[in-house]
Amino acid sequence: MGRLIKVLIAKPGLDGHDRGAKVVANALRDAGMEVIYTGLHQTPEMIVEAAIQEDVDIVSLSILSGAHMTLFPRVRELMDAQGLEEVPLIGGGIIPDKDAEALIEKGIAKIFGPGTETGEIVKFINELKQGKKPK
Amino acid sequence: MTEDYFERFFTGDPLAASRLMSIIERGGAEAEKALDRLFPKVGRSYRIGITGPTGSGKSTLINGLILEYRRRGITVGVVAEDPTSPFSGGAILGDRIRMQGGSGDEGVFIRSIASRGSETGLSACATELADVLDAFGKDVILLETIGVGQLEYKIRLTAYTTVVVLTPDAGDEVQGLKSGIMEIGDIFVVNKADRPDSERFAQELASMLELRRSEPGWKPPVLPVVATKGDGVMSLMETIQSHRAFLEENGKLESKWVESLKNRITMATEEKLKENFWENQYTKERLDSAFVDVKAGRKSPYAAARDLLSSIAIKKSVRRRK
Ligand SMILES: Nc1nc2c(ncn2[C@@H]2O[C@H](COP(=O)(O)OP(=O)(O)OP(=O)(O)O)[C@@H](O)[C@H]2O)c(=O)[nH]1
Ligand SMILES: [Mg+2]
Repeated sequence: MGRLIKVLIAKPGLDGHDRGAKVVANALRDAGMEVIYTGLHQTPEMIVEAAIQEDVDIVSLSILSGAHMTLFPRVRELMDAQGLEEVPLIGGGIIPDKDAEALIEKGIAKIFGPGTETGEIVKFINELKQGKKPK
Repeated sequence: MTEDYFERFFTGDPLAASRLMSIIERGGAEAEKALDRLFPKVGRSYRIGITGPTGSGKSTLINGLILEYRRRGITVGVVAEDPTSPFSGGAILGDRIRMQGGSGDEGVFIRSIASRGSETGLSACATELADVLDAFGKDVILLETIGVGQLEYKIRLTAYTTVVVLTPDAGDEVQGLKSGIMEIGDIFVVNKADRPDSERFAQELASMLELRRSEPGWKPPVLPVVATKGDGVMSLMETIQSHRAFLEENGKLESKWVESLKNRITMATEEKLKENFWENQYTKERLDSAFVDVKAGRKSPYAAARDLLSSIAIKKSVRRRK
């Protein structure tokens, strides 16, 4: 049977736009992945709970609200505390390069800036999975 | 590694439960080993199927049921199945969007699964994920699956009570009794009862159901619900309870479980027979020579099949004589 790559796409915070998240979700689906989409206004606790129950291979956050510097590290922290140390956290949104660098230093695996082609995200996830030892 | 998961699973660690589910989803020998270990603890939860056309409000309704059950201290597991894209094999599993009522509550565990090209209706794997939640100690398990076709009877093999969720505009789906979906419901919900024409639809549905042959002693009720507001959800929960009581009083709960177990043994045996048979070197050789005979017109394909199968029969009888 095997299992496909399973990705959680989450929208934390207060902004009400999930068009970008949906575009990414569709692209990953079309690339043969299974995408768990949980909708708007997720708290970091809700995101990590969903990641645990779904046993996803990767978590991706989409943040447009400007709160990325608090939300990303918070989700990473909760994931580490609850046994998901090995699950990579990535994300995208309106995030300046300087912030992206700081986030990478805090253990976020990758930040995709505005205007990233979805193909690039697909490629990144595929490579990440291939390079990773199985859980 | 797996051993470690079991220890943690039995102390109630949700991540261990989740990882065991993934092992089962991957299939093969590891999956079977996991199910072997779990099965002594399986068979305690009450399984409820929630089925109906796309967008009829199944997930929203499950959210309402989660809240009602939790108010009574009853723990809930959910297995939500969504279709796999026939083009890419991938899937977007979005049922959790409408099931946020249980978040932050350890008494609730929700797992999504893609149908992976199984025919419509509940996949075998969804049943196995329900087994994990069962062994994990969830009192009630809700199985969401899109139901439109004839193959929906599959959900009846797993669920004690099947709830069919329709909307006032579902006229086409219930056209005539030919539709499989009319046959499988123990309870019918007319959701989105806030929409016009819902009363008329409910009446039509009820009168159509009167023509249906149903279990003696249980007339499938039709319940109006507004899942987004929670209206009618408590009454649905109580009706599920009544159906459960009905099954218990008649010894049908037990017999449904026994039937589902027998079915699973049969299916598993058939799978294994197939695998073992075709992988066998002797069979492969015989198949090649049978093919030559059929091609040359000396044998029909049916005669070839009988010959191939007779090899199993011979092995058996030889063993018996020893
Ligand atoms: N007006 C109205 N809308 C409802 C009601 N219940 C659900 N909806 C809406 O119907 C849409 C579909 O609801 P879901 O709960 O996702 O339906 P579903 O049957 O789980 O859908 P699939 O899983 O895609 O088959 C959502 O936009 C809901 O808000 C209701 O009682 N009244
Ligand atoms: Mg749904």
